[in-house]
Amino acid sequence: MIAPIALLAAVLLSAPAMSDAEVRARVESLLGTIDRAIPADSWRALGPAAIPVLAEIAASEDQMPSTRSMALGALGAADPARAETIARALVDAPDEPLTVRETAVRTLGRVLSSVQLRAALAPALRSARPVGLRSVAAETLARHAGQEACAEVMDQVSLEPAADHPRFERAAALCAGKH
Amino acid sequence: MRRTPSRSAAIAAFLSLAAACGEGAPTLTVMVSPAAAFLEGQQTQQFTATVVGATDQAVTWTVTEGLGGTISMGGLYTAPLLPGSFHVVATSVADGSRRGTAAVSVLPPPTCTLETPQPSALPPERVLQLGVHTVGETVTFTVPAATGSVTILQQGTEPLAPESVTYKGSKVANTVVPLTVKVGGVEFFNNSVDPTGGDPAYWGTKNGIGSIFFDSASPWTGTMTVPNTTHMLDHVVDHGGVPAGTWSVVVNDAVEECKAIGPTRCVVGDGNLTYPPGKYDVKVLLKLGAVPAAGTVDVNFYLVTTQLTKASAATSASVARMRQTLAGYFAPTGLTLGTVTFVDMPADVKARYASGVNIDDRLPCGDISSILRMSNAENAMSLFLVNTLVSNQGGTFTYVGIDGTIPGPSSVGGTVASGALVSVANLFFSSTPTSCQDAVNLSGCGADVTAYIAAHETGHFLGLYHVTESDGTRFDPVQDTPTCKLSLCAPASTEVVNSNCTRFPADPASPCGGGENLMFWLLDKTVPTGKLSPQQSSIMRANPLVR
Repeated sequence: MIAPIALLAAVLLSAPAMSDAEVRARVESLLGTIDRAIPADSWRALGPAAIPVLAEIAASEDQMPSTRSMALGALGAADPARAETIARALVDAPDEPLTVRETAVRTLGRVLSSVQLRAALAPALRSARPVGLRSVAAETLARHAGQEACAEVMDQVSLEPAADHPRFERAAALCAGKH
Repeated sequence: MRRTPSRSAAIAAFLSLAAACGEGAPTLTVMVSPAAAFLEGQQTQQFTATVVGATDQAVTWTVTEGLGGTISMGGLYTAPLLPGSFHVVATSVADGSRRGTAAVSVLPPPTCTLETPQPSALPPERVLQLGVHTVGETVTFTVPAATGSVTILQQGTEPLAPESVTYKGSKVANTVVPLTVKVGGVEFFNNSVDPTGGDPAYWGTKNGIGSIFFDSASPWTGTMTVPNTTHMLDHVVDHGGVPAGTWSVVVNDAVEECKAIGPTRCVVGDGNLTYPPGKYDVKVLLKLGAVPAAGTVDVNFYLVTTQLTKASAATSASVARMRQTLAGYFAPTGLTLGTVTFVDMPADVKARYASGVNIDDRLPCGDISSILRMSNAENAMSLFLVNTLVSNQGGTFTYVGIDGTIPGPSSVGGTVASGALVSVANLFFSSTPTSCQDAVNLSGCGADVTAYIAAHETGHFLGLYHVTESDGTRFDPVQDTPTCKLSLCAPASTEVVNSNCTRFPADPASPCGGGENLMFWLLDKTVPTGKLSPQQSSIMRANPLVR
């Protein structure tokens, strides 16, 4: 295992550094992924110059919603603190596209501790609109904040109209240990 | 739910007999039937014992393992709740040193019900029904002269077959794919032989191995449509169709290959159990006549999304734009977008997937497969429009499209691979009021981007692979699509992107092209993209989905 790591390090050290413009172009290219995942390490490998580009795209109303969502997720991998700031703002921004706000909730699940996450998502779980945001908050809490959060999640599910219960199936399954 | 023991049962019976024979004089032996059983938790199985060499047939029944279930005095065994491998023992009352043993495998229950096999919507004369076969069996059929394409379809029928194998430490789906395909005794495909690196388009020969390509995850339902390589396309041109005559196919799945590889490198299921071998319904779909120069693809849009209903889709300007752009991507290949139908999904389905389809579970009971199983039995491209596609792995949460398998089971609805999913996250986006009014605008018109994704996933369903995969080491089997090797085109990176791959036309000596192709793995709005090569177009038109 040592040899491949050494080889990788050698490749990275010998690689010419990309200019900021090249980093921007590469970030924008990778955000065009269709049906393949971009590993977290690929985002980190782009270095600090990628951070402001990702942050700018995640917050930009001129970008496609899926592109913004991908950028926010990538930022969560590359710079959790920066991602947290943007994600908190997006969760509470009712005029932003729902898919971007949902990704913001999921991003908080990745960058916050379970205690922080419970505090951050409690308002969204209880009263965010539309219901889709509440269900993503429930799922994120169930996935990342453990059984302590599950009591709050299941309490909220009991308050939701029956027609919306399928939206909370994944959260309920996570709390039941089925995922 | 009792499973029929096969090879493993025969082995167990042999071992049982051998053990009995090895314990002193062969005057008395105990035989247990069945010698092996596959059960789900808390299922029952009646065992019987025969005492050979004694008039007293009485036995006492026990289970060797402490938590291995219970058995009555009459031999009725009740499996424990949890899965595992256990042994039922019958001990002779006449001679307590004489025992017979049966092996019991208690398997995890299937997590969903898979209705199988599903029928083809093609006319009966184009469908060869070859029945249910166990892995390892050879199936033969006759392909008439001047047949444009042959599709071999295997649908799982053994519900307790494992969903995955672990190969070299990585869990992969129990992919269904023929082990070999022979025509007139000549091997055209062998799944255990990989192309020896480089571009598979140039591997093998025109009239032998390498003429058929497969590289996809395809659990439970597996499809192989021929032609899908340059070699076979050349054969079709030379002879007016795919090879005619007797084809023979060895029914196979990844589990069967895993067993052959051996436990040091490959483990079946979770590694603790003996599973029943896979059984597959085999159908062959024929496209009679030469590959047409033009054709029509009908599309069913299934509205899983909460953002559209059948009524709103009919009047939405964004949807109309998406249809128009989708037709534009098909047109250069000779394909016309035919009948487009919008299908409203039930409210509970819309609600269940409203907050994202989880694409991490690609197994037969995961979200993707569960949605694709809702497709109707029609010969149309099934595109499921969903709000979002979500992954909890990797560096991003979001995908914009995902296919069932490459290729898909054309004309067969209701399987775990019958279509593709497309996100509508961008459908209503327009960066300016005029972004969706003129030429295709992948920078500012979300309907155009959604159409691009729909075209890309339809390309997969019709048999097209990414021209170059993200890692820049894997390529499609088509010679007129350029490749883009990471080592040559982006040596300092971990992925190749469109701008690394802009040389054209295809040239093995200058392998840095393909970035403008619809089937490149990225959509880059700065590169004029969406192109398909003549050979890619031929593969699409040869698919039985095209009428």
